[in-house]
Amino acid sequence: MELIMPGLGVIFWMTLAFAIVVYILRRYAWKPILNTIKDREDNIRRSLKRSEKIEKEIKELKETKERIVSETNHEKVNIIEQAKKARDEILKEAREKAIEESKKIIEESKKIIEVERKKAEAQIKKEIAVLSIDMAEKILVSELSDKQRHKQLVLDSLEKISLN
Amino acid sequence: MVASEQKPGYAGNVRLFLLIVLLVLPVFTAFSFAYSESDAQKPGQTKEENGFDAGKLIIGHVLDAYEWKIAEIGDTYIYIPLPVILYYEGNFYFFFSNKIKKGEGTYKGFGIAREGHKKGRLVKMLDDGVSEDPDAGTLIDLSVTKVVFAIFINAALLCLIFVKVAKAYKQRGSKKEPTGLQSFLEPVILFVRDDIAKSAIGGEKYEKFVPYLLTLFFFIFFNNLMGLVPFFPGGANVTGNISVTFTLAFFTFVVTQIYANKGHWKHIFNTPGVPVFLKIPIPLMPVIEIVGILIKPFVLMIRLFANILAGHMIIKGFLSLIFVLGGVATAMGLAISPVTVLFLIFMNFLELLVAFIQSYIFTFFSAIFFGMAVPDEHH
Repeated sequence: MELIMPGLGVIFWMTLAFAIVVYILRRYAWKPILNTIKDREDNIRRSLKRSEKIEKEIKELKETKERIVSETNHEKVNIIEQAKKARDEILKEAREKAIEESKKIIEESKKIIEVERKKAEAQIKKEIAVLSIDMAEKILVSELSDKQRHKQLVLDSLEKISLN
Repeated sequence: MVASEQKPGYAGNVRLFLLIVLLVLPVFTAFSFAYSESDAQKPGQTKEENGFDAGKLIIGHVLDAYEWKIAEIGDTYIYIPLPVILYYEGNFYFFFSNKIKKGEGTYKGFGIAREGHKKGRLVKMLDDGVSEDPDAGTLIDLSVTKVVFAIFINAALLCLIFVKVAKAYKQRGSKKEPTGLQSFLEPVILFVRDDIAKSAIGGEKYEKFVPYLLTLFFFIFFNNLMGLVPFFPGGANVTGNISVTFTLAFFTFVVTQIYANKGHWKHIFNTPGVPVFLKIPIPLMPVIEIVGILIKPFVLMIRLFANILAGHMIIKGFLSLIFVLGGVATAMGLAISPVTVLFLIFMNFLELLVAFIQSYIFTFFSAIFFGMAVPDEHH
């Protein structure tokens, strides 16, 4: 019987002791402990959320970067292509111009050459005229110095001429 | 599933064994209890035969006492006398229990009753100092007995430990990981909060019950563990004392009624989903429900008490086996001692498990009762 009969004394002290333990632990132990645990859990939750956000942002940044890089690449290719085109055009133009210019130059030079030639020709003609007069002069002079032969010549000629 | 039934693994075997042990335990307890009762009825006979009374030892251990017996070596009786506080006919009496001389003497007319329903408790004695005064008035006994003293020690230690842990929490804050004792206790605290309070009560309402449930769990668990320590200040049968479990269950009952909301009372007095003839004219359902709210803490009280008591009794019982057989022949006592010690080791491990399980069950059922007392309004 003694074993299963609650005793007033123990109940009284137990109630007192347990109530005090509940009070002390509630006030001085569970409050800080549970608050800290909750804080930590919130912290972890927040950090996870933040890291998730950051990850997302990083992903977005990466995408933006890739987009920009690809755009830049595209642009680069475009620019290069355009540059090539421009260069070709310029070259072509330059070549055409050069050809035209050279043609012009050649033409002009031809004209000049022609004029010069004509000039030279005229000069040469003049010179030849002078020279031939000189030579004729000299020939005439030398021919005329031999009076005997001239007399002969004239006599021969006169002989041939028959007075018919 | 079929394969695992045909070929039970190692774990399966252990589980089966544990199950058998747990099933057989109450039978053991009942037997030892019966034997000790019969022993107590004829103490002379057993004592003269063996010189050692196992029943008396076991019952003496699990019962409360006015002194804390530490050892008995030959004729030397080492014990801690504890304060006796009595209120009798308008007067308070304070004295230490060494005045009543191992419970056999009397002091100021008070002595320990040897029979009757007050057996083992202090009563007003007749002048012969042996029998109880039948005409005595009400005696209020508020003595600090062995159990009370153990409660004080354990409660103080418990407060000390957790206030210290709380300080670690305060110092380290929420940004640092727990260390030492803090990290050892945190999983248990989280277990009580998440797996007991949150799962049994649910919603947002569980939060206000958590401090009480934590206190309850650690109080029971710590007292259970201290009960397993074989020497002072452990070894007292605190949670195997019906007054202690009564008080714990009473606290749970009171907390349940304090926090009970309208839905709970509606469920009791006008149970939804039950035919009207069960409520009017004979209020059958309300009566059953009211009995129910009383039975819930009662079951809590009995379960914890019986489990811890059985553990203490079995350990003491096996220990006694050595001396009972030793009383018959010294060689027999020596021969049985290795087996007994092995079994005691096993029992201690089992009791360690029981210490946890029982504190868990008590706390979990308390949480379930709280959860039932605060149903959601829309139900």
